[in-house]
Amino acid sequence: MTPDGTSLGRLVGAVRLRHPDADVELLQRVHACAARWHEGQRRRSGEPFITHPVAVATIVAELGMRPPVVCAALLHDTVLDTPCTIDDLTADFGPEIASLVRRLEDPLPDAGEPRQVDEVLILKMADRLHNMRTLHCRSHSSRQRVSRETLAVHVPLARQIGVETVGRELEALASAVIFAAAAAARARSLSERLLAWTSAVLPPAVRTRWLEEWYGELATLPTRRARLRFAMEVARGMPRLAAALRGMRGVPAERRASAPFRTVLSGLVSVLVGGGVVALGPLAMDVLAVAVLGGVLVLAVVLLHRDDGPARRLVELIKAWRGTK
Amino acid sequence: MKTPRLTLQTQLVLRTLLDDPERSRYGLEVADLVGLPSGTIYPILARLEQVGWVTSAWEDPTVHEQEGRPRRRFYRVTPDGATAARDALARVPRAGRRPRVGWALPSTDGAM
Repeated sequence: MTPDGTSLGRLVGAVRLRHPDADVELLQRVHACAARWHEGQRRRSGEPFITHPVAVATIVAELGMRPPVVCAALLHDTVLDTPCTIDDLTADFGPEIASLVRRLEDPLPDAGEPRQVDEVLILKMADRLHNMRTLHCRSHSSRQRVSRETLAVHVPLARQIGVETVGRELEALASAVIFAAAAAARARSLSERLLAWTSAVLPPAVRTRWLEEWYGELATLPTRRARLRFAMEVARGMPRLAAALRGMRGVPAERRASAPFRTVLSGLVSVLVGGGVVALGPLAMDVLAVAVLGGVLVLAVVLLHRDDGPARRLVELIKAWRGTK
Repeated sequence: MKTPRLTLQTQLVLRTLLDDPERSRYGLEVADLVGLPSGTIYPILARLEQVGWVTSAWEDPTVHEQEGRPRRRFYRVTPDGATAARDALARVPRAGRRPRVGWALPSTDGAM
């Protein structure tokens, strides 16, 4: 069964539930026609475009709207995005449905029954709701723009016309996008990035607490220069803070530096040797690194803080290897 | 209560905090008062907190929420810590009398 078939079934069920004597055959005809007009078109997510009108129609149906409104929902993008015209719709489905679709593009303030205006507005809300639910494929700036517009226009409007549930969901979805962007935007400041990066040496359990403290201080500093200076000062003190938090009082800086030193050496060697040496484990890479630098003394300093068996055996091995040279 | 290593900077921080022991101060404030860079201050505060001489807490939500900014961390000497700190500071050789090599510094661990 095609995805359309399944969601159409849900749509029909939703309509029948609230309007038991609805003309289901008409609904199916409208769906088929819309599917034909939108054939070949795709949503940004890659799905067939028809999934959007069906989703909007389902939202409208689940709000309890009349079947003509549901039909208009299925057709709401046909006139805009396809060669279909209002006259075509009028000929196929009658003036009421065609009028609703026309109003979506051109809500004339006169002549319309008040009920129709409300129904068109609800259609617009449903359209926006489905778009907000499927924002993920849009660009960052597009998501921001749509969310801000939703918060400013659609949320208050939804409340006013009485579709509270839609308004609440719109607000939740739009707010989430705005807040996520605010958080990401904050993290993009150079000061914050510097702090976040250098705080990697802190114990993971407390890292967030310290970052939050420093972000709090940053927010009180008036100039970018002051913020950068603060971030740099804190960054410079990061190793000492890490040592203090790990409870290692009075440990000489050289010993504490040896772990990152090994990692840097290994990294350097892997860059030098290139992608061919893939199978070497980290310890072997250290061996290679030390061999490249040619110093057993260096190796001893590097490995001395580890007193486990493998380290000692390796030191002996290196000594022996150098002895044969 | 263990005694932390009383480096000169640690002593300065302690003396500043003890000037007004009831008062809570945020990290930057301590740095400004002591006259040391923040990168020096935070490790000291962390150590002092570890030995229980200092306690820290997040800012009152009503204050920072009203001002529309993220919360700050505030530090304060603990009552026991104040006593311990004063004792330890009193035993530190005064400025101008650097201990010579081999001169025993006041004992640290288990001094309490």
